[in-house]
Amino acid sequence: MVDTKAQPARTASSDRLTLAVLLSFVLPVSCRYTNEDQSMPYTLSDRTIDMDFIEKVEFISGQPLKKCMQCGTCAAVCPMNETTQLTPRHVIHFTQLGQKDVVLASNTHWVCASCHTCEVRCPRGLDIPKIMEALRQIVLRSNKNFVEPNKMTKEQLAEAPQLAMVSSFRKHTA
Amino acid sequence: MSETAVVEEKEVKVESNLIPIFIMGKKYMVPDSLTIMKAMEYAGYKFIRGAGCRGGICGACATVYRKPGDYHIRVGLACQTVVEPDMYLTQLPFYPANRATYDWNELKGEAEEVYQAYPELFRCLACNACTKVCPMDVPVMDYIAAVKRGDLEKAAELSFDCIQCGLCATRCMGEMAQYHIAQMVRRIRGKFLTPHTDHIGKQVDAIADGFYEKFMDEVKALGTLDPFDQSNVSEGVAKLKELYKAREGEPHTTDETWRPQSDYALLGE
Amino acid sequence: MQIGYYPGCTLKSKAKNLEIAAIKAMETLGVELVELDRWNCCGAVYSLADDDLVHLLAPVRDLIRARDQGHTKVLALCSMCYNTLARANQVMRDDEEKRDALNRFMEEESDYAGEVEVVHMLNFLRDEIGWDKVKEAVKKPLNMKVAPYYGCTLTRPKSVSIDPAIDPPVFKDLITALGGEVVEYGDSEVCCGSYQIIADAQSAGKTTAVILNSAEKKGAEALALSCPLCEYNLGRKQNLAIEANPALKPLPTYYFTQLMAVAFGLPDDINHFELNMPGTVELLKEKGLLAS
Repeated sequence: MVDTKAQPARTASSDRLTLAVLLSFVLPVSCRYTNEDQSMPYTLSDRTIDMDFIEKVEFISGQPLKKCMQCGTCAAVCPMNETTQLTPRHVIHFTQLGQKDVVLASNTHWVCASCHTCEVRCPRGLDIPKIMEALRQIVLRSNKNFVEPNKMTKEQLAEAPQLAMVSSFRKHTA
Repeated sequence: MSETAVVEEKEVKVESNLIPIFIMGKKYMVPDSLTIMKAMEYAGYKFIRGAGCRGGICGACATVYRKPGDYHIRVGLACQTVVEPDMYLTQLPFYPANRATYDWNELKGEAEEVYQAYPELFRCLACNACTKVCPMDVPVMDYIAAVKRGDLEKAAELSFDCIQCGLCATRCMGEMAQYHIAQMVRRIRGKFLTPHTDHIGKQVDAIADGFYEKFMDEVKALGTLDPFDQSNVSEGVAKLKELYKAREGEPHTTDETWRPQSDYALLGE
Repeated sequence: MQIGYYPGCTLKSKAKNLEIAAIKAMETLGVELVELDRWNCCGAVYSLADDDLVHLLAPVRDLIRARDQGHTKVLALCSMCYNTLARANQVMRDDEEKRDALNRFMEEESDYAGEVEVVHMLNFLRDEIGWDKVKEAVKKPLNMKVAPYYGCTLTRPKSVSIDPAIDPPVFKDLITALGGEVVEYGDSEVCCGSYQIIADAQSAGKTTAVILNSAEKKGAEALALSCPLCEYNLGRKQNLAIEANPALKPLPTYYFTQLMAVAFGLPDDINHFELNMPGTVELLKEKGLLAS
């Protein structure tokens, strides 16, 4: 499941060392949550860890991802619990591990309404909504919309207050 | 002798006033007194699209240019902007801006109908690039702000000078076509928001009903009129002059309450 | 007393009931809300990306207009506008690099460095007017059980919170001052789903159902709100919540400014109840709170 052999072969940067530690301790737990049938294990190796992705998320969000200690408070208080495919804790974990495809395939960063409930309660002082924003921005900046304004129904456009459209388009269109 | 010298000097001057401009990157020497449109024609370009009234009104000839050593993208109408040395320019014959289709007869004149036609207007970021690029100094960002808050009357007023050149849309981060949005808004104002001009209808009806015939008859009865024959000013012409001088016109300084007193004017009932 | 006032787009049309009631209620308290001569949409949400400046342009322009019109304070009624303006103002005050970049970019505007203070009407009432003065103005005490709903943007993030971020008292104090009975329930600061109503209306219904259920269980007869988007999600789109949880009963929602106008005995027509969800007028009639 974890291809640790590839790790020592290369000169390990401090980031990679941290990752190796994270891999050996916490990965099996997260796999259980997200990959229930265990039929498709995540392989972590130099080739599957996207360091650029980790750096980009940290740069856009300004949040040091390593600060997260995986306590799960964010997951407990998130009002979108019922709809999200990964909890915020999982999102951060998979981002720490550079699993860009896993993170971006989930709907969590789109469902996040930037309500800051998790930010107020995070014992490590992480601004989690900023991490979600970074994930949205990574997709939106490649000119991919999540919401298509011209596919909204006439009824919706006539009825919804202006600030709903303004905020939705700011968060969900490129 | 002196006259000939002046003419020669003039001719020399015209020669020396050729300046270099770059049309789509290629250098041309053109007379500096020409507008961009005429300079392009001087350089051999033929306008099939992107030229219309040649008087700064139709908005067909939007042009983008830059001057050396200046990062600013500058704009103008090709028919109005005079060439400057070393200007880099291209003229935009067309821009594929979104123009919504709506059934005019089914509209009720509400802001929501503009939102339905152009939902992308909510993507405005207030970057103000539109206002900066407008050759007519229309406050584009402000009228989009007015549409957003549903104030169509104000949006129509602010966009009144728009000539539909479309340069705003070329610079918009929100990828909207401000000028088409503004046109829809002004159409709505024309049909729904401004008071109906009943008096014009009445005037037209009065003309059709022959209300003014009697005045025409009065003029005709003055006799044969030949205003060019000054040697023999007929009695009729003298009377016509009298009528003309005595006519009632709106004074130069007056307010909205002014109404004509004479019976030939139906205005104001 | 006069104060600069930033309305926001929605308050000029779909949430006129929030604005007009506020203007009249403030008049009663001797405060004139002076609307900015020129303003644009603030953007409704603050951009959370660290490297993103362009989304700050809109709120900063509004702050520049407020400063240039001689205001030292600008009051917002809409929670989302308050949040966006206040956070943008903080950046202009504290982040020199971003401030310079923005000022350089907006070459057509005068430079701004956070001179204006952004306040929300609720903390303005608490800090500048005082609950005692509000109490004095009450002619018809709200004899009903009102659940205050803060939503997200009044109290989060901590840096712009008008009150403590967890269990804030300001809204409850207002309802108490207006003579209403405050309903304490656990979900007064839980997000209503916000703009997710556009992308996925059904999920938004699930979120609002939790809030409404929690308030109803504690005996709330009405919900008090401060944000037009909360009102849309919890009020006019309450049917989505009832679809998600059929056990819910319709719960009338009011803007806090409407409750002020009602308690101050102001004419009913200023409240524009036709813009609220159905059932709001009926409840007030039942409680004998209508002016006519």
